[in-house]
Amino acid sequence: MGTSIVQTSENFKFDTLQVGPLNQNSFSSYTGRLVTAATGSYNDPVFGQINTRTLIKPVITAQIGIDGVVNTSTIDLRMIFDPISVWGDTTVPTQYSIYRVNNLWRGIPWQYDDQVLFDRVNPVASFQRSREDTVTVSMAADWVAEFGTFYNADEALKDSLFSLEFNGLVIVADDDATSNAISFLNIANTDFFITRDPNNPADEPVRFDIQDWAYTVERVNNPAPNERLIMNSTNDILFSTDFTTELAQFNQSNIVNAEIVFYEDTLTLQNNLPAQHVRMEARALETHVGFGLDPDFDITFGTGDSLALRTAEDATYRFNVTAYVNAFLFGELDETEFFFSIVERSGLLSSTLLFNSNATDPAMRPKLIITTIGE
Amino acid sequence: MKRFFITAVILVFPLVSIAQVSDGGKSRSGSIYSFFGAGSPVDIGTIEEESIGVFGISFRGFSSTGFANPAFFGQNIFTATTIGLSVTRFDARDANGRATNSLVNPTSFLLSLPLFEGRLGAGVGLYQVTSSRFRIFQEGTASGSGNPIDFSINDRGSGGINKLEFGIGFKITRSLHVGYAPSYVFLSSTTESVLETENAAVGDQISLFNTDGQGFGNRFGLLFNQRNLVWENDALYFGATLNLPVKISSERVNQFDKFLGIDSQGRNVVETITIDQGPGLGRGDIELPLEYGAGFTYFPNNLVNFSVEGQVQKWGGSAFDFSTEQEALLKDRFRLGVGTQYHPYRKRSNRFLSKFKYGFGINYDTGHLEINGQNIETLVFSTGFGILGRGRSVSTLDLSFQYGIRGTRQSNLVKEDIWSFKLSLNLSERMFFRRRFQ
Repeated sequence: MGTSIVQTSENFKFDTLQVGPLNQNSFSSYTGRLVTAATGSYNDPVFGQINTRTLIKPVITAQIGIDGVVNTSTIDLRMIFDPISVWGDTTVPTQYSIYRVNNLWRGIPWQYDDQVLFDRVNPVASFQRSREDTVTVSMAADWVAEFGTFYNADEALKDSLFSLEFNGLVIVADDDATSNAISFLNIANTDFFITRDPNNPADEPVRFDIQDWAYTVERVNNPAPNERLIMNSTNDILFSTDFTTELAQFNQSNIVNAEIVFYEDTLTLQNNLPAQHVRMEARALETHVGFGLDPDFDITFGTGDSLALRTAEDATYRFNVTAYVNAFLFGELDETEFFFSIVERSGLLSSTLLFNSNATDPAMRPKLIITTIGE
Repeated sequence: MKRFFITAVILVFPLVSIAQVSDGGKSRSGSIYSFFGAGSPVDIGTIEEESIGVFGISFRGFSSTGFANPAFFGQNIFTATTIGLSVTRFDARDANGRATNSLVNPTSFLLSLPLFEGRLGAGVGLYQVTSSRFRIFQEGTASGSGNPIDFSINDRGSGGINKLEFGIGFKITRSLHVGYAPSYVFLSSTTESVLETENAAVGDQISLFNTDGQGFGNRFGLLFNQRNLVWENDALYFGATLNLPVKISSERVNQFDKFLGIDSQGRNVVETITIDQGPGLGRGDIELPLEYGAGFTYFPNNLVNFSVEGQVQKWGGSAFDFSTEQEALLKDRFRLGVGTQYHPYRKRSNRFLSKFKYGFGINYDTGHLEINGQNIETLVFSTGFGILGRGRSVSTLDLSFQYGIRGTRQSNLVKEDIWSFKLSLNLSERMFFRRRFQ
C-alpha cells in the first residue's frame, strides 16, 4: 500500500566488470603421499601429451618369519585401481612395466615435476590393465633377492640401509607415445604379499604395505589455445588477477554479493575427445588470496579462500568473494591478487579449458559481478 | 492538589502501560505521508487548544501554556508544567489495498513560570516539529547477470525535527504583550531498511539511513486584548506569531554491518560500515519554512469562548537537499481552525457534568505536499473535555478526541482516516509569591 508514491530505500544494482588481464603463474604441486597416484600416458587432443609415473617403496618391517626372506620366497604386488577415474581410452588395455628407481627419493617433499631416474631394462614386473580394479603381478626373483638382503640385514642397520640404498620401484607405461590411458592407483589398498615357500602349503602369504609413494607428471607439449586459458591440477599453469582498480569505485557502496564467473569452453572439450575416451575434468576451482611461506604447499593442501563447483546448467565456475571484497574495501586486507586453481587434493589429475578475457564473445569472458543495494 | 495528582496518575498509568506493551511494529508507525522530506509537521498546541481545533496563537488554556505564542508568557501568574501522551491510529487505503498503523507518543514537555506575575514570564519546552514515522513494504525481483533475486524490503522510519525552546514574554501595556522564543533545533531521524531474500549468496541485509542536523530558530509573538468590547466582562484577544525560517545543517549516512573475515583466533570479524557519499548521502541543508499566523478569541462571558485562527507555512521552496524529487513536492501550507469552549464549572453547580470544561472545533489544512497534482489536505474534527482539580487547584487533566481525513485515493494517492486520543496533565501552582501578613 502506498508504493505508487513512496519507494523503499534499497534498490539492487548490478555492476559487471571484466576480469583481466589474467596473469599466468606456475606452481609445483606436491604429489607424494596422496590418496591416489597416477600412472600411464595419454595424448589428450586439447591438453597435450601427459606422461605419469608412480613410485612406490614397500615397508621393511613385515613379520615374515624367523629366517626372513629366503631363496624360495616370492613377492606379489597387488594393485588396486580407482575403478571410475581414468583418463584416456576405455576400451583398449594399456601395457605397464615396473622398473627399479635409480635415484633416492622421498614421498613427503615430492613435487610433480621432480625427476625419477630409471632404466627401461630388466623390468621387475609387467602387466596390462583395461578397466580392472585389481591387478596382481609377481615380482622378479632377483628383485626379491635384493629386497631380501635389506630385510635380512642386522636389525640395527636395516632401517638406515633400506632408507639410503633401496630406491623402490617405478610403474610406467611401456610406451608413452602409444599408451592409451592414465590410471589411478588407490595406494591405501595397494600392497605386497610375500610367501616364504609357495610350494609349502603351510606357508601363507604375508601382507605388507607400501611405505612411501609419489608420482610424476610430464607434459610434453603445452598447448596455448587462442582466447582460452588452460588450467591443470598440477598447477604448472594457473592464473591470477588483481581487482584493486576495479574495486576502488565501490568504497562507498553496500556490497551484498561479489561473484567471479569463469565460463568453460564445453564445446571444444566435447568436440575434441574421441569416442569411448574419457577425460578427467575439473569438478571445482578455488581461489587463493595471498600465500604463506610455501606457496606450492598452500596451493596443494591449503583450503582456498573461495570454492566454485562446476555448475552443470551453464558450465560455469562461480566464486563468492563478497567477504574478501568487503575486507579489502572496509577492513585490513592488503592482498588483492586472486589466484585461481583446480581443487584436487586426492592425487587425481584433471584439467579445464576456460574462456579468456579476450574471447570473441563478450558474454563468455570471465567477469566480476558486484551486487550493491542503496538508494 | 494531592488527590488530583493521584487521580491523574491513575488515569495516565494505563495509557502509558498500553504504550509500552503495544505491538512494537504497529505502535511505531504513523502516516505514510511522513515519508516525505523531514516528516509531517506536528501541531505544537496544547491538548486543550487542539480539542477546539485551534493552534494557540490567540487562545490559551486556563492552566496550560503552549508555545505557539510566546507573548502569553507575559501573562503568567501560575507556574505550570504539562506532560502528555497521544495515541493515534491511521487507517490507510489506496487502489491496491489498506493498512493500519498506530502511533503512541509522548507529547511535548512544557514548563512556564512567572518572573514578575502578570508582567514578565518565561518558559522552556521540548517538542517535536516534524515526525517521520512510516512503514513501507515492497516485494520484487531483481535481475542481474545470474539467477533472479526475489526479495522483500521493509522500511521503517522514525524520528524527526525537535526543538528545545526558551521563551520570554512581557507586558507592554495592559492590553499588549509581546514575546520572543529562541530555540535550538535538532534533527535526528532513522530509516531502518530490512531486506529479505532466499538467495543464499545475498542473504538478509539490514541497513540504517541516519540523518542528523542542527540549527537555531526564532519565534516572535504578539498578543492584544481588549475587555468590555461589546458588553461588560467580555474580552477579545488578538494574537499574531512569526516564526523565522530555520536552516538545519545536516548529514545523512548509510550504516550497515559487514563480515570481513576471521581473525587469528578464529572469531568472525564484523564491523559497522558507514558511508557518506552517494545519492541522498553526505552533507546537506533541510529548511523549516517561514511561518506566520494570526487569530481571534472572543469571550462573551466567562462560560464560553470562540476562536478562529489561521496560519501559513512557506514550505514551497524550502530546501531538502537529500532528495530533489521530494523537495519538489513541498508547497506552501495554510491552516484554518475554528472552535468553541464551554466552562460550566464556573457556575459552581453540583451536577456531575457541570464539573468539567468542554470543547469542540474543526480544523482544515491544505497540507505541505503536492503529489501527482493533488494537495494532501486534512480535515479534522476535534472535541475534548477537561477535568479540573478540586478546591482552589488550577491544575487540569485534559483529554481530546480527534477524527481526521487526510489525502485522497485519486491519482494513486493514499487516503487516511485518522483517529486520535490525547491526554495531558497540566500541573499549575502559584509559586514564587510573597505572602503578606497583617
